Amino acid sequence: MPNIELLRLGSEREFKKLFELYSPRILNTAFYLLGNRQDVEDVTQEVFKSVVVGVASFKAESSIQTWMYRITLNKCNEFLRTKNRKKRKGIMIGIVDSQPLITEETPELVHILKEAEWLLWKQIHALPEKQRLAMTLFAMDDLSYQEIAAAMNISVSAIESLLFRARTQLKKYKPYES
Amino acid sequence: MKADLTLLKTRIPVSDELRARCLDQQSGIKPARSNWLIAASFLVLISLNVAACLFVIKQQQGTRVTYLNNFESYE
Repeated sequence: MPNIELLRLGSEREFKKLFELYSPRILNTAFYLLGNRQDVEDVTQEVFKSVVVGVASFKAESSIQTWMYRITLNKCNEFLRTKNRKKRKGIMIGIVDSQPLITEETPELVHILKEAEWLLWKQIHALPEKQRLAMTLFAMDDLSYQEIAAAMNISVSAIESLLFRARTQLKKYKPYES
Repeated sequence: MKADLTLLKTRIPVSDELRARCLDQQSGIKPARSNWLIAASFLVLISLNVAACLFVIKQQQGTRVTYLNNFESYE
């Protein structure tokens, strides 16, 4: 585990440790949320940039992993909002922010995921935004309810409810079982 | 349900290019100083200023008293 105090002092060695430990998780979580390798690499770079800049003000109230997941979700949301806003530019700016976030199905994503994974990914992406985020963190990264709650900045009971509703939705489809 | 969802385990590797991009940027960015450090620096600066002012005032007062004493002795 990287030493937070040394990270705060700008230690390159500790940053490298942090990168090696968390970059695969950050990259893959962002990949499941965004679906495009180039975008995901840009977002991952932004996440680590934010970590370097913000580590001095990191209060260690949560684990560094949770903090980094929170940054990742924010960066992914920010990225999708900007992308969706650009798409809808000129239509109705006033309602842009109330629109659901849409991730594209890229050929690369279809290619990388196996067939069963692809079907599951599609179902998860058909869920409402918060259920989708909770389910991605739960299924992909084996985060506990507490960790997901901390990353999404909502209560554990809200996470339980989101995951329950997501499961109910996913059970309804079940095409990946065939 | 969790068993079904463990399907979602494909991992894309971290490319060398991304590693270089992230690790290089770290050397270019200085971590933001924490607020308490900035506040402490300001406090030290203000204290030094106040101390300097008090020192000058005291010295001036001393000179004035000496001057008045001398003035009285002339009279």
